Amino acid sequence: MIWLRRLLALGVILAVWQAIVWLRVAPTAYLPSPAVVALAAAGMFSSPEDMHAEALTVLRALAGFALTVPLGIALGALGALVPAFQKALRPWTELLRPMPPAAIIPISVFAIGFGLKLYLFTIVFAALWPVYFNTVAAFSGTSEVLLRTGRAFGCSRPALIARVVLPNALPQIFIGIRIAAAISLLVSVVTDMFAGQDGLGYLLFERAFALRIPDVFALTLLCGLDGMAFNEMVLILRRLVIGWHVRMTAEAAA
Amino acid sequence: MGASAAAPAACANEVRPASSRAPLLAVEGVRKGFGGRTGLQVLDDIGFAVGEGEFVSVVGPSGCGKTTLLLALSGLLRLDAGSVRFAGVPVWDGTPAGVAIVFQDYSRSLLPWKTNLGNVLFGMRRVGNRRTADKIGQAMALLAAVGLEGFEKHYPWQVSGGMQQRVAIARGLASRSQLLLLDEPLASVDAQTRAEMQDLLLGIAERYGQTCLLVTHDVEEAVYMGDRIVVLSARPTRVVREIAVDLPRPRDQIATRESAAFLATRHEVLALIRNERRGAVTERAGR
Repeated sequence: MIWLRRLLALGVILAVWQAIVWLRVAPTAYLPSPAVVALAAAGMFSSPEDMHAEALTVLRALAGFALTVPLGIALGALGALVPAFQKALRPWTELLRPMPPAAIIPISVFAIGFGLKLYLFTIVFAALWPVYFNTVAAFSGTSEVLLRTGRAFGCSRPALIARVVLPNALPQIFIGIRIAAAISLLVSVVTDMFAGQDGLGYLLFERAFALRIPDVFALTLLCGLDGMAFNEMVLILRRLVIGWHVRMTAEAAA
Repeated sequence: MGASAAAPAACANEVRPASSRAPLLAVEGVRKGFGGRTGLQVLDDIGFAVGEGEFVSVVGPSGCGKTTLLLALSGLLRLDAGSVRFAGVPVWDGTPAGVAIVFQDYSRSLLPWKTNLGNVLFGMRRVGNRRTADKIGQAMALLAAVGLEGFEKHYPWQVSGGMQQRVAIARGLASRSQLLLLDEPLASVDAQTRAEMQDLLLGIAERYGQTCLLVTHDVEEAVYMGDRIVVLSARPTRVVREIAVDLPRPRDQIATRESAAFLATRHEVLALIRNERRGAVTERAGR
């Protein structure tokens, strides 16, 4: 049912696109028809160079994401449990959080050079905050009733955190994780564009400057597919880790 | 009051627990206030005892700090003065292994990420030296005892409020506690479920020889359930009177509630509490 609706939406988009091409709203050179883009996409999927770029961008995003999530949760837990830590960190978080990720790429290159470590740095820098802040909020928001319950049944402080506070916080932490996944991919592509020698972002700029418009459309499409895949990955992860919460919200909505 | 120095004869109006041994729970001169100097004195010299195997009801006017008292008894709240002793050992920071609590806010006190069975198993955290299979078997038996057979794999949020309360009771029983503290456990269920749960609790208390302390605002419930009633004053809270309930067991929702002894006790407690409420109102008006 949902797939039928998605297919229908895709059909509508393609139809509108084709209609715009026919009406010659934009020159055909800059707005290729769906058929031309499909051909370019077929070429892209069979090109080893393009697929190599795809793999690099996705794997770097995944590596950054995999580093961000435990780091964000650990720092968030520390922030919530040790007020002094959060206070000490606050000037830094206030300063660094609003910084647009793309703006830090040049100084990051000066500081740490190119390669995977650059990507890890820029991704963690941008994606850490939603995980960190959601963890702080979720840990701090543990209800008094739950804390009392844990203590009444003999939980020591570490046990209370591991067996009550963390499981209770996970649904909210996952809100941050989902945002972090999207940011990881975004920053991976942006870092390709500004500092990369390879990857999807680099390829996109290269083809765009060469005015290979159908290729640009195909690569953009691929970025969109990657984004969908990342979102799907988080949803699967969420079902695995907090399946109870997924079912609870689904049953509450029903 | 200097209760420890006074001779037993001085407390003639107090009812002593039937057991001649040291009481399971001994509360003496407990005081607790909130909010510093200008704050609120909630508990003002509370003292009573619970003997082994007893079912004691604690009742008082609304807002008299019943929940505060229960938290103080379970070691979840620091006392300003006085002492709580469980099996002779002072309760200070944290709940002793022999004490279990069924919280008033049961729906939020159950762990939503655990199944009903998982929640009962959580109650067995401190029960050592047993294999997991044995614990699971016992948890299943407890769930069956509270009438939840077939709901072991359900999550608390998948069952009704009354059933959630049964899970909370099973979890309280699971720790094999010597003392079960019940904090208004039936405050938010409908009247029919409430009567059913009262009998369920009494049946379980009898079956497991469970010592219970029930905190409630419902006078009839206090009389119906208890061997003894501790009546509290309005805030700042003291013990006004201890009343022995002279009703045969097993209790019956119809016969017991219609008996002369039930009505007399109910009358006595209600009159005490009405007095307390009036006193509180007059005092507030006089300020």
